[in-house]
This record gives sequence, structure tokens and C-alpha cells, in this order.
Amino acid sequence: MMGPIQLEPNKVAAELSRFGEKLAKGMNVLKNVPDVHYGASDKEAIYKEDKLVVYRFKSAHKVTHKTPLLIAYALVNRPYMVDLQDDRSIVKSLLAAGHDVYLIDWGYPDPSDRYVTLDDYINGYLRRSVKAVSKHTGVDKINLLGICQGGAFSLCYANLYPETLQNLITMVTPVDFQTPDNMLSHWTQGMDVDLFIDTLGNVPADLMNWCYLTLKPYRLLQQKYVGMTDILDNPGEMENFLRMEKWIFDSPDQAGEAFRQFIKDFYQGNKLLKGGLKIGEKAIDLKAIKLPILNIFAEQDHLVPPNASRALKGATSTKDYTELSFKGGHIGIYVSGRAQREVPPAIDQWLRKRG
Amino acid sequence: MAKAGSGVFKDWEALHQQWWNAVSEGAGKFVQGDWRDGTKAFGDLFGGKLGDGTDAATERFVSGTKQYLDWVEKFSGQLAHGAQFPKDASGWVKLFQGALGPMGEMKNPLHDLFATMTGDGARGFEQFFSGWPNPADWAKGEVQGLLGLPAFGYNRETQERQQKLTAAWLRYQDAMGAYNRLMLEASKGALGKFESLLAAREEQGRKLETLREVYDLWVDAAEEGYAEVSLSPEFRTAYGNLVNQQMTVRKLVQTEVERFTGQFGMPTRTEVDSTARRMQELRREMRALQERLDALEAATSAPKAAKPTVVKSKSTPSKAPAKKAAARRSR
Repeated sequence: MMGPIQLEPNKVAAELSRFGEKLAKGMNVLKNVPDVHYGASDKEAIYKEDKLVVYRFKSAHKVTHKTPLLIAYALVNRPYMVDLQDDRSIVKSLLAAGHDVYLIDWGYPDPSDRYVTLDDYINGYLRRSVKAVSKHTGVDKINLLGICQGGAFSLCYANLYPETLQNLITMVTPVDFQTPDNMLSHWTQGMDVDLFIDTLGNVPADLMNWCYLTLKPYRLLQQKYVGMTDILDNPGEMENFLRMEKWIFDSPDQAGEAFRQFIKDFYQGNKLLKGGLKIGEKAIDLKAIKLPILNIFAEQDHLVPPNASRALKGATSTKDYTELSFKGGHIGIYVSGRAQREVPPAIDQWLRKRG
Repeated sequence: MAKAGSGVFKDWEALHQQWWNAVSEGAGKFVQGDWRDGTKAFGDLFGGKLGDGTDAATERFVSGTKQYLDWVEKFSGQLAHGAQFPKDASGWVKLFQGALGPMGEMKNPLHDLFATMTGDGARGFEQFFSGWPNPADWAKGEVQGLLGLPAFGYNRETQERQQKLTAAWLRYQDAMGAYNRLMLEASKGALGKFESLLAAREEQGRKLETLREVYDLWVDAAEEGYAEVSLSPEFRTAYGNLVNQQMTVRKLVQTEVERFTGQFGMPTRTEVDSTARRMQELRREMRALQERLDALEAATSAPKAAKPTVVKSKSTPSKAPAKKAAARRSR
């Protein structure tokens, strides 16, 4: 009678009346939702340098893994991404599994950090962070978990300083930066990055966030907020929503020089995979990596498409390569219930077999 | 085609008023005022729970919900006020198109989405220069003539800089035009996708029974259309060009601002950058010296450290652990 859309007056009236009621109730819920906080686990600083801090998470559980685990996330994120709240915390799950977990907080770059380079980040901050964890625990080798861009950094690091690592875990890490479905990469190809950085200095976080939102503008700028009305009368869900909202838009500016090289060499040159990448004076060759690798990627990742991560398979010389495919997106892999059930246990089991 | 206001649909008009009152009343209570008065009414919606991002988050919520309600009002309003109920996907798309309003294809469909991002959140291309004087205005409508004039005399350099800035601004406008044209393509593509998705559902016998389902399906279509265009070679060129032209204008404006403020003895971007560069070089040097110092200290303290381990080694036949400990300290 009405083709594919079967709207009935009474049902539509009921639907929209419910919508109005939700909005009315929502105000009271919002008033009473407590201020949102994040960071579920206690931690202590064990190393500081410039704006960087290396934290060790305090655990109520006995540490049963002799090799500590250091987490290095992407420069666009914040440390609590892996420890958002009690029931959404990779860190909490790993602590419960007996791991000694450390985390690099890269800090918020300001204009004085405009000239921090990838060399400074990888040969400097990351190397000294690994050293600090090593010294703190009294072991020669640690496990490194690199997330997204932090995973790309970790691959470079593993190539340059393999003697300091026992195992390497990469999570939603781009390796092939030019897969056909990589929208971010596609957009950067025509950019004059030198002009961009020479003009902006540090890249403003707002601009980065805007860019991410425009990957899926209708969903992220509109539908998401229409969807929010569904949970307006649910204090718990609203608290989670607001926490996510705060997290997503809490991004540091990007140090200009590091950004320049990352776009030019990784996105435009695809040198991590194709070769020719240098970090400082040191050449990077993925084939030189022989460490055991666990590569985790998300099947619905719109920032780092699965194929960008899958490219790691066969790119190194490791004989111990494992892939874990997660049914979710780039954000969901840290925060969804499914991720909590699947990802930390998989990391734990993989590490348990390798010491 | 069935006609609204007759037969089974006779209740549409009355119900439309009824549910719209309910929505308006709910929305009014929610925002403590008229929800159509956007930002003003939604003012303290999140009560500071998002910290500095409150305004931006509020605006995003306001914008998303408001556009949705606008669409609902128009879409349902068309049915309530006599539009005919379509029989097929194509007919529904036409009706839908009429209700799109700011989400529609008559202009860059993302314009209104991006236009809301004026808080601490991100800003779109068009907002980037909002509040800045348009360099072309400086030429007072004689832009092309000014650009063609040869510069000479006392103000020659100033005139050349202004010509350069104005030309860059015009190129930026062209680049924005090319970008907007592709956005329009994305929008048209979205309607085509919407029709296909509707037709596919019809074939499968799956019906959309709520306005929200219709809206969600349209979002799926819009994202598909947008993704198709934004992954095209044309978009890559247009996007790169837009960023580059925007940066060119911005850099030229910065230069002018620097020249102006420098005259009053204010520190300029160039000076701040120079300090930052030197500071970073000093950090590197200091860190390298610190590491050398640590290594030297470790080397010199290693033999002393051997003493207690020797004592310890008396109780154990092997000296291997002591050696291992010393080696670890020296690292």
C-alpha cells in the first residue's frame, strides 16, 4: 500500500510522543548524572621527562607474569583510553590476569614542543621509557603493546632496539598506509604538508578532531546525537555517553615536526611498509624484526582499515606471528563490552605462552 | 496513491498536531525554553560535566537533534497536510527530498553540520576564517583591477603583498567552490543510494515502520554516498587543494599580522618559534649529556657494586648471578 515505508498514524504519534517524553525526562537525568571521570586504576609515576610520564598501575592482584608490559598509545589520544572506567578497562583486565602494566603518557604538546620530531619520540622518549620500565622491574626485556600510531612507533622501536623487547603486540596499527579504503590517507595525498606545518606549527587538536568527524559526518555529527535521546532517561547510559564524549574530544595538539614526518613518510610515502623510512639517522627495516608479534585489528575500523593492519603479516621476519581479528571499530576495541571479554584475555593467553 | 487526510490516513492531520505538541512540550521542558531557540535554550545542558568541551558538546547535541526534529516536522507535515502517500521507493525518495531542508542537496549537505562546530570543538573549512576580514574586501570591489596593477613607488612592497594575499584568497574561494561541488555530488548520490536501499527492502518484504527507521536508513545512504565521493581521485585533488589554499592565505595573513604587531614591539610567531627550536635542541643536548653521565657513573660504580655481590657470592658457589647483576646495573 505504501511501498517500502509503512507508516501508521497511531504508531508515528506514539513514537514521537515517546521522543518528547524522553526529552522532558532527560533534563532531570542530566542534572543528576555525576561529573564524569575516567581512569579506573590507581597508578604511580616511575619516570618523567619533559611532558612525558611513565606510569605503573597499582594492582590488587599478584603479579604472575615476570615480564612487564608497557603500553604506548597514539599521540592523538589520552592515556585513559585503555583505562576508561571499571567495566571498560584493558588495563584492569590485564592487571587481574597478573600482568605488571606500565603506560606512557605522552602529555599535551604546547608551542614549545613544535620541534619535537619522530626521532625524539622513538629514539628518545620511547627508548628511555622502555629503559625506565626495565630498570624499575630489574629485567632486561619487556613486552611492548603499541596502539594505533603507537603501534607504528613500536614497530620502528622493535627494529632499532630488539634486545630490549621480549614480545611485541600491535593493536589497530596501520602498517600499509595506502590501502584503497583508507580515507585519511586518501585525503593527505594532495596536501602540501610542509606548507601545512610551516603555517600551523603544532597541529590543533580541534582540526584533527574535525578531520576524524568528517570521515563519517552524518553518523558522528548528527545521528549519534539523535541516538542520544534514546538513553536520555537512563543515568548509567548517559554517564557512559558523556564519558565517551569527553574522551573523544580530549585530544592533544600534535607536535608540528613529528606530524610533518608522520604524514610525509608514513601516509604519503608509505615507507614503513615499502622501505626507505628513517627515524633520526637510523633506517627502519621491518624485515629485521624477529620478535614474536601479536597483531590485533578491528574489522569495522574506519580510521585504520583492517587491511592496513593485516599488512604486517609477512612484512617482518618473525616466525611467531599471530593475528587477532576483533568484531568492532577503532574505538570499540578499547571500550566495548565485547572488547573487554575478548581482547585482554587474548593478550594474556598469548603472552602467557611466551613468557 | 492514497491521499493523506482521507480514508485510512484521515487521522494524520489531527495526530500530527497531537504528536508535534507532545514533542514540542517535551523538548521545551528539556531545554527549559523553546527548543527552536537552539543554543540559548540548551545553554547549560550538560551542567559542566564535560569541562571545557561543554559548549561544543551542547551545540553538537542541539544541532543533531534540531535537524532531526526539523526533518520530522517537514516529512510528517507533508503527509499531514495533504501530500500523497507514495507507492514505491522512488515516490518516497521524492517526498523525503522535500523534507530534507538543511540536510538536503541544494547546497553542501555538510555545511550545516560543520557550521555547528564553533565551540572548542573542531571547525570546518568555512568556519576557519570566520571573524577574519575578507582580504578581497580590502580591494573594495576592484579586486581584479587591483591584481592587475603594476606596483611601484613608496608603497610598492605593501601593494605587492596585498595583491598576493587577495589572489590567494580568490584561489581559496575557488578551491572551496570545487569542494562544495563534490559535496553536492555526494548529496545527490545519497538520494540515489536511499532509493536503492528502499527498493532492496521492498524486494525483501522488509518495511520501515517508524520515522526513526526511515531517518537511520537515510543516514546509511548519506554515508555511502559521501564515502564514494570522498574516496574519488577528484576529491583527493580538491581536498588537497583546499587545504593548501587555506594554508597559503593563513600564512600570508600571519605575515601581515606579524609585520603589524612587530612595529609595536610585540613578540612574533617567528620569535616564539625560534625560541622553541633552540629549546628543543637544548633538550636533546641535555638528554644526551645526561645519558653519557649515567653511563659513566654506572661504569665507575660497577666495581664498587661488585663488593656486596662478592660477599653474597660466598654463600653461593657460582658467581654468575653477581656478574649478571653488575651487567644489569651498567646498562
